[in-house]
Order: sequence, then structure tokens, then C-alpha cells
Amino acid sequence: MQQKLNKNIYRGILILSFIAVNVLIIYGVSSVLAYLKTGADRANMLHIDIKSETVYAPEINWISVDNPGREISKQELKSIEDHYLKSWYIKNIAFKNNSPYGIEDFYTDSARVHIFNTLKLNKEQEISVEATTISHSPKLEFYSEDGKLAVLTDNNVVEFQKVFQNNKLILSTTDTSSYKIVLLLEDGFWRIRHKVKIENEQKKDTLKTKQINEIKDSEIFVEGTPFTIKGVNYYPKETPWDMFGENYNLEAIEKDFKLIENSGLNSIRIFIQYEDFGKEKIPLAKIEKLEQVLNAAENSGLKVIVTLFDFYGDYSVTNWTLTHRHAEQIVSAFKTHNAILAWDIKNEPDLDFDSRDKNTVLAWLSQMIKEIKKFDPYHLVTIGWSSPEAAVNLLDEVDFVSYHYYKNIDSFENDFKTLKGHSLNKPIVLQEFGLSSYKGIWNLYGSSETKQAEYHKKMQAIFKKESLAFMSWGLYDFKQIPTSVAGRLPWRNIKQKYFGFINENGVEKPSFLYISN
Amino acid sequence: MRKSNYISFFIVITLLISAFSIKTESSTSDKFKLETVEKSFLAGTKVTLTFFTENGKKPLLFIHNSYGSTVISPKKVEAKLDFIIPPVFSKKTGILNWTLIYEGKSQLKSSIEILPNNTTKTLIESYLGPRSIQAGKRDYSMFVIIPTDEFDNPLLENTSLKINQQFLDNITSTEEKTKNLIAWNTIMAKEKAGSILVSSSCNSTNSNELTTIIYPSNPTNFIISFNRNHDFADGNQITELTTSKIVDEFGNTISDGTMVVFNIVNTENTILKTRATTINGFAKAKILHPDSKDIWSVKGFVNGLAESNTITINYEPITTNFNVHFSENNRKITVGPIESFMNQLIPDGALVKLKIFNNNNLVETKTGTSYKGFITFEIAAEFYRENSYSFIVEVLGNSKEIETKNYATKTE
Repeated sequence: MQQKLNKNIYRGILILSFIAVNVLIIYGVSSVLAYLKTGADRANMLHIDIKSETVYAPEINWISVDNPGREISKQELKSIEDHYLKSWYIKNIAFKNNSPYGIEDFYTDSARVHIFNTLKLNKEQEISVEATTISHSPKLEFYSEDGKLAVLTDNNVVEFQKVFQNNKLILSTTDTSSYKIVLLLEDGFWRIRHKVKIENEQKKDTLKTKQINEIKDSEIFVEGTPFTIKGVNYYPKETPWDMFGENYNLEAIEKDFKLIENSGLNSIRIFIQYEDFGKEKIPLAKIEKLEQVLNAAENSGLKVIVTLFDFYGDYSVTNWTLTHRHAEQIVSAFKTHNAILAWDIKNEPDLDFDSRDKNTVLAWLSQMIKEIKKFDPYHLVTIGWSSPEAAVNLLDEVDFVSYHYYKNIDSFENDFKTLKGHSLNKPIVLQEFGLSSYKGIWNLYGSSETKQAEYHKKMQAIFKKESLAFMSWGLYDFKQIPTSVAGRLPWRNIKQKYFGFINENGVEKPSFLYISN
Repeated sequence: MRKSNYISFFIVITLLISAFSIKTESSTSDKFKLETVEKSFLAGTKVTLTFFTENGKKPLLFIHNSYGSTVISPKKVEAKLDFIIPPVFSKKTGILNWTLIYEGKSQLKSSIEILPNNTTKTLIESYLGPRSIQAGKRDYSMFVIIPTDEFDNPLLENTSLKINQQFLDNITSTEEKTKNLIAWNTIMAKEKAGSILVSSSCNSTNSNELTTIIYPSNPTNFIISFNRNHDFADGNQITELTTSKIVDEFGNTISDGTMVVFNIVNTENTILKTRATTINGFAKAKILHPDSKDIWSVKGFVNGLAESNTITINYEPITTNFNVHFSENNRKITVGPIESFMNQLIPDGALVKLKIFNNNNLVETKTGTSYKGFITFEIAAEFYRENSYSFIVEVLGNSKEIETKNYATKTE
């Protein structure tokens, strides 16, 4: 009996394994066949279906294209520009990885050896360089009659470099260099034949522009008069963290702005999400929506602090130029808009110090301030640090200091004084503060709505006494908080919903009385 | 508890302040001093930057030139630090920026310049293009020369070099100076077609020769003529249309293979075309004679560029007498023998038309070509069921009418 059972089991296993082997063979053969059948289609031959993504977009301004050789067409100039910038990008990548990948495409036979030799040298000594160029101002010196040779002078190229040895950062530096470059058209590529670094041309002093907003004696001046910010962080009630998305509702926003104005406030802080706004290529529709919002604010007499780069977390050097283009498109579009008080580069970037390396984040911020100042010299620039301790970073580069305060109210005045001591006499704005009125299963020790009201009453008293600039968080309670803001954990997430002065049904909470002073 | 918090916070802040105060001082540069005085070096020579330091500190030197950056460590000689610039960097001309780094901070920052080494052999790279230009005074090639030293560095601005040019018996040479790394010259086309050879020389190095070809310019108007065996419209012989030698404005024979189109308008205002390409300036096109009396007016064109005079060609009719023979109950019609202008049998292929009428209504036109002077048409009973038909036969513009023939059913 036992033996017979065993025999059957063996039989069963044999049959099953036979079937399994067959299935595997058929599967294997069919996937080989499927692989062989997915070949190149004819369009591939012509290389017309290559989808290219913008990976490198430093600022480039042609100073002149008049040259003693041949007049250049727009299309040809574009292709020289494109390949020339790619030569930089490919070189940057090569020096980052110490691998010559792609160098052949953008440097001629004789030129590429110099790069290869340097790469070899760096590889031996474990040196790597992360680099990006910020801006180029090329001048076409010569374009040959047959359209196959071009000479450029690229003046005052701003280069940022981070130098590592044995994976340890040893230097980060920003330099300005100028180059003379000979390019040859080979196999459809404009390749660098000669590149010689030359003395920088002296930059002409730019005229000092009249600022709309400015800083005088540690006070913010708007159109010539001192301005103390009394504001609130704003998201529409129905679309928190998605102000310019599909459910964008201008009427609701206009109504809210009137409400804010009537409650005695004079400014708001809004947020622009990096990806939502199209990264390096911003759709016109987004700019139009932002313009409507800014116009609405102007109509209600509100000043706006626009926080850029919300949800942006990649500060890598190779990515820099793309973020510069993002900022350029927004900032230059509104450089003369009266509603804007300041550009807030990024919300709480100090929270990325650990995960993204403090030096990297600070270098990115510092360069971004310069970029924004370049595109909009009329408005102020600040960074919304998450705590008064973090707000000492880049003090000398921001126009005014912004920080957020969610700690105990008792230490507020002390912390403020310490910060003030370091602030190089720059105006200080408390850009976020508040208390959640959530008390429930996920936070038994939370505060009630009356406690929240008391908190704001106390804070407003301090502001009044010291005549401090403040922006509270936030106008509304929200029904839903996106998981990208506070994660999925309910004890974190739910708390976020109840910071408002007005609850999710549009009813004013007791704290609303103390929204301003 | 709270007090200790205060204290620790205070400590943090004081630390921050002290950190800042160090940063703002940054007067550490007096720890290091550059000893090397020279600011410029010849490419390919040994380049060493020497710094003086105290207490045996060991900084690093970051260098950056046209093609890349690297970091070098010093060689220590007593209180001096020698940084030997690697050959990869000391061989390439241009500004070389250096930054002395110590403890992650830049201490000193400046630059030196590497100059092209004229003591080495000069190499010449030259580019000529376009390689084909048009005769006359409009078109030109550009000759670009990049003289370099042995290390592939473009020579200094204002280096002079010689550009030589040969065309036919004429050899000229001009002097140019480099600017923006290159020297260049326009090579103007001549009025005569041919090729121009160019070369250059710099610092006793000669380049190889490059050629640009001058092609004849656009054709000018020309004259056409025709040629034929006889002037009869026999639909068989061939008329040849010939151009005069087509030349450009400077008398150069236009390039072989230029297409000439002959437009022919006949008496019915129908346009006929024939075309040919030129060889040595002549184009010869052929066309078949018409098969009835006609007058052609012919004009030649090089499309968009040149045209000829208009000539007229007359074709005489051939008067011929021919028989039409009916057999097999009138169902078979034999035309022939058809004779031509010398009473010879007409060459095979002459067009013959047979128009078939029933009660004066045209039923059908049959066409055929002659063979050995004859042609046969069949009037098949299956298709032609009427009792009577009449006919007209046309041969080379001559026609013959045939009275009504009876096709009664009596035959079957």
C-alpha cells in the first residue's frame, strides 16, 4: 500500500516535471522568437523617431553673429548652439564618471585625446569633477563659405565645479572663463577642433535698476513706503498643494483674497510646484493662471510672496541648468508685476540637508538667488527656512530672512532675538507659524480650537508689541492632504489638516479673530 | 530641564557665531605664498608652481584649462611646495586657472598662461570649400588655415603665413595673419573654367595642395537647326534637332549633361517634346516625322536659364494611290499595296485608319499599321450585325471613300 502510494507520487512528480520542462522550453523558444521579431522599423534608419529630452539648458545669449565669412542661417546657428552646448554637457558627464562616453560625437579626433588623457589622469588619482556651466555668451567670429567650419568666442562662461578626491568633496568653485573655439562639421555633428581658454573680457557695468521693492535700514520698502508683512500662507480650500491644477478656480481664489484683505492682512504666500509647472518647459497655461492669481491679488491690494521649487528635491549639478530655465520663465514673466513682494526660492530647503548634502543644497540655492536676481532685479529674494537656527544660512545673499516656527510659543521671543543678532541687520519675516486644532484618536494631547485661538492671540500680541512681520499657516483646514506633503501615516497626516483659521466647511474657527493685529 | 535646553541652545548659537567669524576672516592666505614669478610658459616645457608654506602643511592644487580639470599634490622641498603641472595640462595653450586648496577651502587663486611653442615644428591644417564654384566674379571658395605647434595648439594671433594660388599660368601668393585661431582667404572664381590649386606655408612648413574646380557658368541663348533625310510626312523617318555650341557668358562650354528640351508646336497646336543632354556643348535630339502634312515650329530651352530661336519645319504630304479590296463576303478588307513618294512600297508601320459608318453614323474607327505595303481589317459578323456599312480609308493624309456594302444575312 505504502509502496504503491510512493510509486504514484513519483509518477505524479515525473509527469508534472515533464510538463513543467515543456512549458519552460516553449516559453523560452517563444520569447526568443518574439525578441527576434521586434526589430528596427524603417523609421529607425532615418533617425527621425529619436525623442530627445532637454538635459542641459544653460543660459545662452548670442552677442553677435555678424562675421566676415558667410552669413549664418537661424537653423544652422541653432545646430551649432545645440552641439556646442552638448559638447559641454558630455564633457561634464565624462569628468563626473571619468568615462569618455560620447566624447567622440562632439570632439574631433585630435581634440578628444586631450580629454581622454585628462580623464585617465583623474581616474588614476580617483579625482572626479561635477561641473555645469551657468551661462554662455558666444560671438560668432567666422563661418566658412561651405558651412563646415565655425569659430566662436564664448565670453565669460560661468562654470560651477565640485571637485572630489576619493569621493570626498575637496573644493566647490564658481569661475568665469572665456574661450575661443574652432568647430568643424563632421558627419552632421559640429565637433570641437580647438578650444583655447583666453583672458576674460571686462564686463561693462550694468545700470542700476530701480527696484519695485527694496530694503532700507532693515525694513522692507514697497514702492517707496515701509511695509510690514501681515500675511497668511494660502492654498484654496478645495485644492491644497494643487493651486494651479485641473480644479483651478479663479472665482474662489478672488473671493478668498477679498476675505483675506477684509480680515486686516496685507500679504499672502503661495507655492509653485516644480513638476506641476512643467520643469524646464513651462506651459503657457500655467503662466496665465499665475498671472490671473497675481492680478486678483493686486486688485485686492495684497502683496504676494511666491515660493518656487516646491517638491523639488534633486539638487544635482547636472540638473542645475534645467532649474535655472524653470525659474527664468516664471520670474522674467512677472518681473514688473506689482503684486509680487518677493520670490521665495524654496520652502524649507534645510530639511534636505541630510539626504542631499548641505553643501550641494546651499550651492544650488546660492546660484539660484543669482539667477533670479539676474532675471528680475526689481523684486526681493528670500528663502523659507524651516527654523530660526537654519535661517542663518546664506544670510548675506537673501534680501530678507524668512523662517518658520512651530516650536513652543514660550521660546519664540528668545529665538527671535538670537536670530536678529545674526541677521546682518536684514529684515526678518516669520513666514510660517501655527497650531493644529486637531485633537483625537491620533493625537490625544493635541490642541483644541480654543487652544489654537489662544495661541494666535498670544502670537499676535507679540507681533504687535515688536511690530514683527508674520505670515501664519494657513487660511483653511483641508479635507485631504496629499501624501507627498506629510506622508501616509495618519498621526502625521491628519494633524496637517487642521492648521486653518477657517474649517473645511468654510466656517470661521475661534482663531479667526486673531488672524491679524 | 528647560534651563539645560537654554544652555545647549546658547552653545549651539555661539558655535555658529564662531564658525561665521572664522569664515569671514579667511585671512589664511598668508599661510601660503606663491614663489613662482613667471606668468606665462611655453607649451611642452616643464611647468612648476612653487609655493612657500609654514609648518609643513600639505595643500592641494586644483587646475583647470580649456579641456578639463584635475587636482595635483605637491612635492615637498624644505619649506617649499613644488606643484608640477602634468604634461597633459602643460602642453595645451591658454589660460590655466589654479586654486590652492587647504582643508577644503580655497586659499590662493590665480592663473598662468601657456603659450604656443614656436620652437617646435609648425603643423598646418587647412580647409578649402566649397570645392566647386561657378565661373565669373560672383562665386568663391574659402581657404582656412589653422597653423599649430607640435602639441596641436593654434599659434598666436598675428602669426603670418603665405597662401599660394595657381590657375593656368598664373601663380600668385598673398600673406595673411592669423586671427581668432585661424587665417583665411577667399579664393575668387575666374572667368575661365578649370581648377585652382591652393597651398599655404607658415614657419617653413608647407601644406599639401587643395583643389577647387571652377565649373562653367549658366548657359546663354543658343541657335538650333534641324537635319532630315527627306521632307515627306511618312511617319517613319527621323528628324534630328541640333543646338549650336552652348556656352556661358564667358565663352566656357557649358557642362556636359545639361538638359535641352525642344518644344514643338504643330498646326493643330499640339505640343510635342523631345530632349537631349549636351556633350561638348551640343545637344542632339531626335523625333519621328509626322504621318501627314504638317508645319512644326520648334524652340529649344535649357529650363529656366536659356532659350533658342524658333525654327519652322515643313513636312510634305505623300500622295499615294492604293486599292481597297473586299473579300469573304465583304468581311475582310485589304488595303494596299500602299506606295510612297517614289512608288516604293511604304515602309512597315505606316498608320492606316478605317472609319466604319452605318447610315452615315460613325460606328468605329479601326487603326492599324502597314506590313510590306498591306494591311487587313476584319469586320466580324459577331460585332457588325447591320445589313450595310460604308467606309473611309485614310493613309498618310490621303483618303478613299467606299460606297455602302451589303451585309445581308444571305451568307449563312
